[in-house]
Amino acid sequence: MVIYMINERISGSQFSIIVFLASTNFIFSITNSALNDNIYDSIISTLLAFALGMVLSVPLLLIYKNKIRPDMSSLPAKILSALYILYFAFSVVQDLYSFVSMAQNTVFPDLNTIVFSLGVFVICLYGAFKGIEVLGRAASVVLIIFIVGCLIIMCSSLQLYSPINREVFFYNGFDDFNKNMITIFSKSSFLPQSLVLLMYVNKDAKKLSAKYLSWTIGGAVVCMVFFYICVLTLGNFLSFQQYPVYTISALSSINPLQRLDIIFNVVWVCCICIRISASLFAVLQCLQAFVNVKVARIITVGLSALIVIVVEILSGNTGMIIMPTLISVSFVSIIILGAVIPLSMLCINKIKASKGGKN
Amino acid sequence: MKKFKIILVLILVLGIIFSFSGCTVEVYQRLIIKAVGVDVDEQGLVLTIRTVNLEDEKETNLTVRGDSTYQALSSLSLQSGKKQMYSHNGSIVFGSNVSDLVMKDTLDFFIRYFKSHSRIKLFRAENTAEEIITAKTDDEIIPADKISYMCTSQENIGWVMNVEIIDFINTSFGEGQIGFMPVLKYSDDRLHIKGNAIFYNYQYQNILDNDQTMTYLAAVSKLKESELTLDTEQYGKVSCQLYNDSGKTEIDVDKKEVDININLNASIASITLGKSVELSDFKEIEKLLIDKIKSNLDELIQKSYGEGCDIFFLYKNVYLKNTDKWRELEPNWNSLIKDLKFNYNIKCHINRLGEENRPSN
Repeated sequence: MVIYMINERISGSQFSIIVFLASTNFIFSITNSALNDNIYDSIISTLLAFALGMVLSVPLLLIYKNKIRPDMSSLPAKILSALYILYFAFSVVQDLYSFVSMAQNTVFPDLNTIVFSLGVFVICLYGAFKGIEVLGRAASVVLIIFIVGCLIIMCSSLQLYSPINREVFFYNGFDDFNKNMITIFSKSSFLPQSLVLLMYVNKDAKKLSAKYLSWTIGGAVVCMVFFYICVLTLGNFLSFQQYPVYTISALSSINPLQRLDIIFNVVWVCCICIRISASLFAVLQCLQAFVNVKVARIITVGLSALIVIVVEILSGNTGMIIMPTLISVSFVSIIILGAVIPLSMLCINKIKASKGGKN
Repeated sequence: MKKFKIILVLILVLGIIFSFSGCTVEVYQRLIIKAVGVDVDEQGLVLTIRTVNLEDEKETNLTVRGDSTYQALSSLSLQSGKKQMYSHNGSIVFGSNVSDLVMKDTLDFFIRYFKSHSRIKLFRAENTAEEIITAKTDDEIIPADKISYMCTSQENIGWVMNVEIIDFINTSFGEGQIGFMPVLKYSDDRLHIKGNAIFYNYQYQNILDNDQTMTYLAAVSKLKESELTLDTEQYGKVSCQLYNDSGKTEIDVDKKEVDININLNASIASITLGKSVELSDFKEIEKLLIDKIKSNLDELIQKSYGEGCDIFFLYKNVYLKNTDKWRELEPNWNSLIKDLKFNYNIKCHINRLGEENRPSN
């Protein structure tokens, strides 16, 4: 008889790695037009977007530190769970849309998108159903693929460096910088999902804040370096390319590989699977405020199918028109669900504790 | 439940496999394009396409016409019954009569098309692109790979610029709107590089010869190795190998002056046999080398800045160092550069004399 030891918790490092991969994967599928054709100013926008993310994550880390657990059977918790489920579904739609849109436009244009989306969802659902520990372990493996893949792409793309591609910051003012900061924050942030994932981090995880912050800084550095390399290597050619990081990998070569987009594809698919799996895991947990695990799983599968259909409808021009307008919705949702609500939880807990103390 | 799961997974896997197989076109159904020549005649756009047959690796040429590059390329299927495959296309050759609009149309297709080769080399033909693509040596077609490799000799000799589509677009879309392309010539049953063409806003302006190209590459610090032969009264023919140490151009916009700094290392390859050369004569040879480089620079600047072509990308110098000044100068930059004064600071050091510095009589 085989006994499976399933640990339902992850370490602080595993949590930080999941967040790191989920936050940085936007770099692979972000379009030049989403950044207003201004990748160079986006380097500073990335820095500020990640800094904002770090500031807003303070309430989350305090919730973890104070071991606050919401009573999921209460009505407010159920309402909040429903809100979070909606956001997670919305977030997955955005992630999958970026993924499918890039596959359709550049990477695998001949591919049937619905089959592609379904394939990704099967992997992600499997990961989500297997539990947080499997996700944590998978993330550790993906991290190695990510680091090796990114290093190969970064180093080999330097052969394209040209000094005439150098730029100055904010030549056209601060408009693009502000817009790009909101875009990058919306696409990279994983705060609402982190609120759920943090409930499954080992209670005695040491130095979680330090690990989380260092991985977040690492994420910001990776994205900034990629943007910087894109500008220095592609220059004005960037204006003709929708997906800058894909382009540098397609143009780079190491003998005997003439182009490195195959490495890019592996890293890109692995990272998006971790992000979507973690979001689906969060959906599954929130659903348990209403139904039992089995039913929650069935609903998650149904929701996934719905997401695939929505993405299929959006794919093509429709999504390209709608998606940019959803950035602001996403930005506000992240602020509310990732910072305001956790801060309120913290305050309510503090008030309750002080009242309890007085009594 | 377990059986149901297995069936579900099987259906998905089979679905994915069938989906993939339905999308792909077999290699034998593909028309593999190796090089494209673009010309314009009285009837419009003409493309000469070099294709390769996978079975015997034999290369053949096809000619197609169309209103746009893509239309012409699409009509290839009518001649072959196969689907075009662009991922092996290594070079595009533009005929001398190709307009800027045709060039933009062609380049845009190869940039935009997701499956085109990422590092396509660009050339300009001295006459027609068809002449280059259909060129034969000893009654055999010159392989397309050989055509695309012709510009890689930049590293070996420095008389040619290795220009890929990304380089051309990068410089042409900069404020200077300058582009370069090696010029191919077919004569005496051979293909060779005639020089390097300068383009301003996709329009051909001038051609740089071997020495001017070498001097340009040295000034922008891209010269690895080259050759320069001096015809002197004292020493006869002196051939030198040149190695670029560094090159830098700097502009002082207030004084309207440009400093071109070139540091070269040289080694003597040969001196006319029998001429007596003392060690002290090498200072004189260094001076002659410097004079030659200066005269190359004079011709180079006349051909470029004299025509309003900012080949040293001086605009970038101003843009990076004095951005506010650049905002002020940007609208009139191309007329402003015609009045620039160029100062040369050339250093040349002969650091290797060869086995003999004085050949025995």
